[in-house]
Amino acid sequence: MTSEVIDRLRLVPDPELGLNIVELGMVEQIEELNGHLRVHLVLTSPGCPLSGNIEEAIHSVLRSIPGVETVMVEFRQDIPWHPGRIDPEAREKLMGQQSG
Amino acid sequence: MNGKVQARPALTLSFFAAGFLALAGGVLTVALDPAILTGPYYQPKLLALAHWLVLGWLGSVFLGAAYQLGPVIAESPLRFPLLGWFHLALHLTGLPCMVYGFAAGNYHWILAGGVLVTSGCIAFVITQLATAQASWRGDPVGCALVIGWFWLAVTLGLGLFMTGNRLAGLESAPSQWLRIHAILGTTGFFLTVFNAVSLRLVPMFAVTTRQSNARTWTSLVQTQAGLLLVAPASLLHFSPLLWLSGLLILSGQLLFLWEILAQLARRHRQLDGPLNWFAGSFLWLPLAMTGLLLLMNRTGLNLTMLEPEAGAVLVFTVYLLGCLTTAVLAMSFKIIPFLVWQAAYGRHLGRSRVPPLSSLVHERLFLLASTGSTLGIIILVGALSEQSGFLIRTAAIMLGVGIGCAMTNFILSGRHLRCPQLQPLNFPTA
Repeated sequence: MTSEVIDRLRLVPDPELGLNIVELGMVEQIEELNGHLRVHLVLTSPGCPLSGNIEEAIHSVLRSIPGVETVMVEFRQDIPWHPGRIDPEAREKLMGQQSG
Repeated sequence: MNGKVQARPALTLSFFAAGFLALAGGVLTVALDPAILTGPYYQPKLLALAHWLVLGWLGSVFLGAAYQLGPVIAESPLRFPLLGWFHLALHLTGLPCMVYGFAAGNYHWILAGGVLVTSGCIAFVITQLATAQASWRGDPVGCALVIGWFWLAVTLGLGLFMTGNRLAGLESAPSQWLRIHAILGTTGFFLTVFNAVSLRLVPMFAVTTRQSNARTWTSLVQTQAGLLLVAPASLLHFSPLLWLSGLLILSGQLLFLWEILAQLARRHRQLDGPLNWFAGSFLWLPLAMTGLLLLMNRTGLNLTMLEPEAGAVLVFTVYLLGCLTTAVLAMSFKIIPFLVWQAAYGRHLGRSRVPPLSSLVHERLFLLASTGSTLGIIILVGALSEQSGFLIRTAAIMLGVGIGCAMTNFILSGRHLRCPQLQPLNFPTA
């Protein structure tokens, strides 16, 4: 189920950078037990004003997976996000990104 | 605390709208009467314009942005949001009273307006302190913000003190207190908050990290040490202390600039138009701080042959328009579209396909806004050096075109609130 979960999480974008939360390396860990999902997330910026929207979006994209009963999102404040977490391909995209 | 922050886009957007209207009004006033900016700084119309722009434009935008950035920096939801709306009401009522008082030379109106604006700022500080208290971080950004509020209180207190003295017939103007009020008001609050916000926003938007903690701390300590010396040095008329104060502020800002350039050099993202424009605002900073150093020491600005009194208008134009206004205008092309996007699309995230944030910025309007404003400010600086009324009017018109284009962009982006551009989200099949 994990690969399907990751594919679904790719539907949650960061509107400023134009990358999704998987490409940005925000997904730290996914736990799955008998249809109960727990997603550990690292925010790119602590106190990100979109965190509430991102949490709701994750619920929305994951709850519709057959077999998923509950979804929990945990914001990991003990793990700092850094640019090194960005997927290498996505990093190239970011460096070549044109004016927004 | 789970790391979630509830944003208040409507409050921030209302402050920004007030700020942009004040800026447009100020620029129009200069276009109609360019003579306001020539000659010495102590004249009723110029004092009125200075307060209109500093409090009405920069004050509204900085305070409004704090309602958005404060919770982000504190990593905690905004406390007492209703107080924020109360602050806006007091700010919008007090400012016109104060400005009318300056223009008419009526200190009763100045005092009434000042009390209202100060009451609003007290409400602001209560919300910010309560928000920060939940999860305050003792890093340079968190410390600088709190110090900025302290300078805000000092400036407002000094303003009320001077007005009270004038009404009681205890003080003739211009006094040393006025110089202290002007320097601490513009550099104490605005420069400290500008530093804090830049140190937070540059890593966020340019996808980079802080490059040197020691440099960032030293910059903050040097700048604040310089600012703390402004009042005693000015009151004592002690020249070595004035030089030390100015040099500390200048060197602190050079360190800040070094840190920002180092962060930009290690960025992981190509800078887009607004970020490039924002980066350009930093180029004005050393010029402004050098001018401030010369001004504090009443040294004639040799390059321009201006007397210190007329030079003050030039130095504050370089600083308030060149540096701060450029930074705010550029960053407003990031912050306002983000707030509108969040209000229009935040709740649809993960439910529908939403347009990218960049679609809320019209490329042509942005180009006109950035070019018009930048050229307008450059021409204005030249015009003040030459004391040319014709060039001041030309600069104001160009600046007005730039501001008008920026405002048009923001109004147009509001259509996303009325008609969100949503498309169905296609879930991948297993």
